[in-house]
Amino acid sequence: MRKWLLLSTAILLEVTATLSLRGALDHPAFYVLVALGYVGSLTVLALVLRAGLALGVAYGIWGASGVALTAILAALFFGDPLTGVMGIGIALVIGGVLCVELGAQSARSAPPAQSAPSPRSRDEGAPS
Amino acid sequence: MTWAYLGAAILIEVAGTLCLGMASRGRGKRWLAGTVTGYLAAFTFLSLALNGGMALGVAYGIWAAAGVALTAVATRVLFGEPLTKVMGAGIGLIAVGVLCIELGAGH
Repeated sequence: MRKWLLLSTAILLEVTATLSLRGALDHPAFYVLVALGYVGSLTVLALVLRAGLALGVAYGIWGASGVALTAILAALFFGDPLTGVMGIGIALVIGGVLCVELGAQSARSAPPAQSAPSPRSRDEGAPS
Repeated sequence: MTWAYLGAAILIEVAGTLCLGMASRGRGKRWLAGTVTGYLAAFTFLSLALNGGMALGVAYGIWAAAGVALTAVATRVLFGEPLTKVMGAGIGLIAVGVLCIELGAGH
C-alpha cells in the first residue's frame, strides 16, 4: 500500500513540474517549481523502488498516468490542442505502457523458462 | 529542430533511468550522480523543444512513451529482464499511439 501512495506522490510531483516547465516559458519564476517538482519526484521514485516495486512497473505506471494528466491539464491551462485523433493516440499509449508493465510483472513472477529442460527436449534426448 | 531536441531528451532520459536501475541494484552513488545529470539534461532538452513551439501534451506524450519502450528493450539487453510477447505488443501500441498523437496535433 505504501509503495502505491509513494508512486502517486511521484506522479503528482512530476506532472506539476512538467506543467511548470511549460509555464516557465512565459514566467521564469516557474523554474523553481520545475526544480523542486522533478527533484522531489525523482527522490520519491527512488523510495518506490526501494519499497519493492520493480523499475519497469513503477516507470510504466508513472509514464502512463503522466501522459494522460499532462495532455488534459495542458489543454485546460494553456489551451494546447487536444483533438480526437490525439485522444485515441493517448489511449493507445496508455494501453501500450500498461501492456509493457503488466507483461514485465507476469514474466517476473513466473519461473524462468530456461532454468529447467522442457518435457519435449527431455524426450528428444532420451534413448528410444 | 524541435524534433532533434525531443529525440535527445528521450535518449538522455533512458540513460538516466538505466542509471537509476543500477543505483537501485546497490551499485553505489556514482550511478545516482549519473541519474541526476541525465534527468537534468533531459529536462533541458525537453524545455528547448517546448521553446521551439511544440505543444506540451505532444512533447511529453512522445517523450514518456518512447522512454517506456526503449527502457523495456534496454533493461532486457543490460539487466536480462524478460521481454514477453505482451510487452512487445505494448511497444507496438505505444508506437502507433505516438504516431496518432503526432498526426492529430500537427495540422
